[in-house]
Amino acid sequence: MAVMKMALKSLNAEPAELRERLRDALAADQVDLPPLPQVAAEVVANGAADPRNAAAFSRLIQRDPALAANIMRIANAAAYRPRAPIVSLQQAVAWLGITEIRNIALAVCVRGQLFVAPGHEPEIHGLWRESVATASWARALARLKKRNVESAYLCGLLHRIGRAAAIATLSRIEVAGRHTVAARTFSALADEFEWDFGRRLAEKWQLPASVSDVINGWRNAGRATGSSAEVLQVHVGHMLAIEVLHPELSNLALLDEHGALADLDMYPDELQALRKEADQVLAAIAHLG
Amino acid sequence: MNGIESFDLLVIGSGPAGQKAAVQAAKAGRRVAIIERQREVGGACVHSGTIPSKALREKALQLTRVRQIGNAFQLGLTADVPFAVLLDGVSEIVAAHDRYMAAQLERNGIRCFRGRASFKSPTVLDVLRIDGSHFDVRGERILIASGSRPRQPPDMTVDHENILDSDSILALAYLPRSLAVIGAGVIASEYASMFAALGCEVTQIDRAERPLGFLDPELSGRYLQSFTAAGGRFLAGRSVRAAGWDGVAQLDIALDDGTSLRADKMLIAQGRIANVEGLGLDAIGVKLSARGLIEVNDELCTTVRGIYAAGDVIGPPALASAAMEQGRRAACHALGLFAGAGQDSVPAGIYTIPEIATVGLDEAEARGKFGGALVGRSQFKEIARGQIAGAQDGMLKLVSDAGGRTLLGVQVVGDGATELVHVGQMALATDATIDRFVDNVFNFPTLAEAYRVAALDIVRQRPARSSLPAITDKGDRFILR
Repeated sequence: MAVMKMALKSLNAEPAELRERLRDALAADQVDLPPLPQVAAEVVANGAADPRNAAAFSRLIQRDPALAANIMRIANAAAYRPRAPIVSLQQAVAWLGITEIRNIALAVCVRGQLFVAPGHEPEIHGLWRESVATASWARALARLKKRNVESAYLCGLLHRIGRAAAIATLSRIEVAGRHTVAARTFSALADEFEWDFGRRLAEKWQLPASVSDVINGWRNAGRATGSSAEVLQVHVGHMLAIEVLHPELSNLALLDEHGALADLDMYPDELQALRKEADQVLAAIAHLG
Repeated sequence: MNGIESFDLLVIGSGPAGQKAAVQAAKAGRRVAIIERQREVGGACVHSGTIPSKALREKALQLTRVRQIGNAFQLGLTADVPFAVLLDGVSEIVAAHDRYMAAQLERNGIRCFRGRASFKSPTVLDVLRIDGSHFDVRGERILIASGSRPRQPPDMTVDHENILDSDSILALAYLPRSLAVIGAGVIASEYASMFAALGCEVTQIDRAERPLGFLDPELSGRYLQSFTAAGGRFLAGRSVRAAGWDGVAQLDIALDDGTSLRADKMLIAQGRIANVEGLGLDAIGVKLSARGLIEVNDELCTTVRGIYAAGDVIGPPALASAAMEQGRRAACHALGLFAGAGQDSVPAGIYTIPEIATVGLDEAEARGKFGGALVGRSQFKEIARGQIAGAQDGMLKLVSDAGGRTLLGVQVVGDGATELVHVGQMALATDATIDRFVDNVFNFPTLAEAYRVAALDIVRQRPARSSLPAITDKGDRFILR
């Protein structure tokens, strides 16, 4: 596990001091961020559904036993309803298709690398479920609007990697210092540094421009004109993800206020029709979350 | 109905037909409003059809030209070229066109309402705003120009991921290695030739015996020849029985003759259907044809007085150029303005590789209508400019009356065909004779010289002492297909 290069000698720091240290470390490029695993890098570089290197991709997965085992577990999950137990990776590819296998592999890799925060499991797990749900909704939206489906999924899955990285980093600070940052402070710092960490990860992982744009702009989509389709899809996808995961916090009226639905040319009946796909989104969360 | 805003003309849709109708009416001093369901004006033509696909075609052409001059360097696309690179600059082109059109509407005082329109009565529309609220608006006359969308086959699911339509193909992330194109019409042939030129292995499949079957066989033959030379293949007289993802990397496509093929992606381009759902046409009595198109008379009036229709909603030729003219004429008829002449010589442009353009009658139509015709041909490879440009597969045909005096039609295939055809269009519009082309001095070297060469070919074939009178009354010969 990567650790921060920044000096962590004063670990009982006050929030302000902790903030300053994080900021200084980011400014000096002294924060170690995890590398993008090879499998995920391959998916990101070649497109989630590019079928050209299906065989090579399968071989790549086979070289990573933990990843292959994870894919087998997911392929056998009830959500996919295999006719018979899947016992080999080749069978999993044949049953689910290389596109789905790529999505699963990417999800497993990113989760394993980034969505790990000892002491903050519920929060990081919630963030992961939110990312999977957002990706699923963004994909459904792209299909409805005839946009690129694979790109939409990738953008949705990675839209909050900055927050995941910020949480993981703060968690490591806690572990290294054997103390606990107050929950409110922890959350506030994760909020504050989400964008910075996201931007750094996008650079380090050489993510496509569309993913970087989403990381930078998904919160403000619709409020500013010129948001790309991917940014709008993830913005709306995120709101729909909140609706299925935390109905008590949901406020879809904000979509109208932000103008995101208008920018996507989504009329109320189209949104209602889309929301009927909630079961499929929940199934995706069940087997990836 | 007090409180309802009223207009002389309400136009549903802001594509080529709607836009031209609105501008025509506004320039005549009438109060006009457009109701457009999308954020941007321009319709599918600008945002998912004509303009983006032509930008892609331009990249394919550039690549073809580079290959022609650079065989020694083995130039080509790398296997992992992002598709977006091929559409580089399209969003700027679309945005600029959007701005231009919006400014034109504003300059002419045309109101634009964003929303979905449906008829409450023959003169009142209910408009559903994007936020779900409604308002009414009244029009003394109403023009339906709501366009069309790709037809979805009933027995196949277009998932926009592996099986695409002509909208979603432009959202591809990567250039596929192989593409199956289902259809033999304009859109299918345009995309088939574009992807073949980009180096993709393309198989075009259709029940028809030849692609672009509505064209002069000589022209469609040139298309097929070029398509095949670029590595494409056309499977005639066949249709797709089933298509499904093989679970690994490709689609398995089963044909009705028992054969099958595999392709990375499949494009279904089997025509378009009119956007008439939700307009409430039934309630007010606007009649649709068996194919779901709005029926109109010669003045583009529907079966309900005061309601007109133009563009793709009334069916073929489904060309932006024809839609513009229909929109303009519909507005004139609706408002009692002089529509003028000109519909007879609307050209048809097909952006395949090579380009094809026609205006007026082709050889078969001329023989059918007048009992005889002479045809003059000019091959681009025999023209200096054609030699210089390497336009080896180009050709221009002039069709005249049997006496070889009166021009009846022009067909062009090859680079610049859609521009070149306008010389013929103007000649037709001004009743120019075949001799006019012979006497004319064209720039040298240009492809326009092909007109003179083809005219000389007709002169050479003229009967020594023709007893056939020249056609002076062309009547309604230029009926659009």
